Amino acid sequence: MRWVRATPGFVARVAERRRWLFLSASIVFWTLLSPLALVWLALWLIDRQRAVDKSPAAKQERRVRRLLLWYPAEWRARYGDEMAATLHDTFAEGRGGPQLSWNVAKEGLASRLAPPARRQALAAACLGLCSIPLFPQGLVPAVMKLAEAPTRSWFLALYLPDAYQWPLIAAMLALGLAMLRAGLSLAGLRLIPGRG
Amino acid sequence: MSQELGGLGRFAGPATLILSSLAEGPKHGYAITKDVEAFAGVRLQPGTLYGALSRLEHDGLIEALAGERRRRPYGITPRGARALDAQLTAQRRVSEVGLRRLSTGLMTS
Repeated sequence: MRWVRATPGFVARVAERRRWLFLSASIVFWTLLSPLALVWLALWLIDRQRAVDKSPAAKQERRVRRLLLWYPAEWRARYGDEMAATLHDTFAEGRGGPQLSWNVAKEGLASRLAPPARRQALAAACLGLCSIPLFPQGLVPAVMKLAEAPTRSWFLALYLPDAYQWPLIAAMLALGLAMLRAGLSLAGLRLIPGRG
Repeated sequence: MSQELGGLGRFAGPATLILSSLAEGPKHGYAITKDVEAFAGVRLQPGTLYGALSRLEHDGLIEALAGERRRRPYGITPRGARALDAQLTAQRRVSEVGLRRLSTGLMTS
């Protein structure tokens, strides 16, 4: 075969043959197969679009299903059917503007973010972890700095340059208090009774 | 604001309207919307309505009654009635004071 260059060694010959195979396969693919595939894809899409029910009732049903997708599955299992009925009634009244979509999207996402169980877990995490910034990273290094103790242990603030030590301690205390407050309010409790 | 409804946060307003509507008798979602629109002039959007309904049901202030699945009626519970009473009493105090001050103070100036 002429196109096999007279290079010594079997590996080089195989590489050369592979290159030719690749080239011919590319030509076949780009000139024949890929245009055919594109035409087929277009035909399939057109067909599918024709099969879609364009009646107003079907369109409305699809819109309701789409809107309910904002909600988590377990919420849909409980309230999906009745909310779908309410949405249909609202549309039938001609009250289905973008305002409604926005409202449903917002509330759906909110119900994904804060179902009672997740809220409780978040509250537990906040309350459980708030003691870390509060005590070992806040109060204890503050006391150690005031006492000028030589050990640094795992107190992050004491490893920083002098100027940043107090600000970091203050930030840690603030973070700890914020977590405590968030945890308490998520759990439905209040830091100072009768406020908020 | 009463303790119970105040705990509902951003749903406190819609919850007062929904409970006021259910105080008359059980209704399904869309019927609540229509009733609230009629007596308060406020249109509850479906998202807000069902957000508040699920919170109220979770907190035991309303309950789902037996009925057609797509038109499930909700009724107010004794706890819900107490919470609504406390809320409306507090609101009446505020509106009475506000209206009185408006008529005696600001209106003359």
